[in-house]
Amino acid sequence: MKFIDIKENYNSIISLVESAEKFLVLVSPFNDFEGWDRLKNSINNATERGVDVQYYVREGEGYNGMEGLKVNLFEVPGLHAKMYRSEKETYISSGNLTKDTNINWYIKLDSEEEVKEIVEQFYKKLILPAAVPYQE
Amino acid sequence: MKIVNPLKSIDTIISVINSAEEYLVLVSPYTDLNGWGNLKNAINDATKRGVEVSYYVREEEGVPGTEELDVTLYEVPNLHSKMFFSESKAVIGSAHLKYNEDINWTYILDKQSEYEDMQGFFEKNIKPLAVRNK
Repeated sequence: MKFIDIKENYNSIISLVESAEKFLVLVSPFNDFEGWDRLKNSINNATERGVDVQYYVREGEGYNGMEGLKVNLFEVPGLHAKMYRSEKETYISSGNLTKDTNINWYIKLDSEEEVKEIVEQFYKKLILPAAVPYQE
Repeated sequence: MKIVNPLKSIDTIISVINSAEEYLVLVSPYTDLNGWGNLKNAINDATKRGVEVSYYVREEEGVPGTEELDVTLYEVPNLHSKMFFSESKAVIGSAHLKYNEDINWTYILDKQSEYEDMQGFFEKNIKPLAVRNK
């Protein structure tokens, strides 16, 4: 694992999205893409090139702050954890995908064991069973 | 780093607090310890045995909820990171120290390099902005 230089937090996520070829799992309970067209466009471009983009938000949030995003949206009751993952890279973070000046850390998981742990112990165990496809 | 069983998250943080001998740094932007007597007691017991306990909250919004803690309180503008460490152990998480049933994850940083990486983040990005709450 490696803490990302705080100045590179947003670039790391954009790079993750842009390099995805198969899937993206974005777990961000709360969202605000206003003024963050670059990330918004990157996510929509990923969807357009055939990447399976799964986006998990907290129950009740729906598309709040992320209007116009083309993703497979799920709501999860009580969601407060953050994880950003493709088939190539995995990050955990204290930050939601909100364009603000909050002090957050982003950690890149750089070993297979670390990635397996977050996927098995967190994503598969706590998120997937509780996720409900969003319906407007 | 090792992920913690969600059922053991708070026990893990309390273990860091109870094992501290020199100092404790608790970074929780928002705090609500109502109904969380064991955590509150662990923090106050650390202070009583001479551990230097520094508690960092978000500017203005983080102060409520820490009234019963015997700690040195600091406020940090726009703080949203969460980390809890002593001179020998460190835990990071997605959760504030709030008593609720939210879905969060917690990690133990069990390698020296990870501990130093986290401490470097704290020293560079949080500590310089901290203002002591009076």
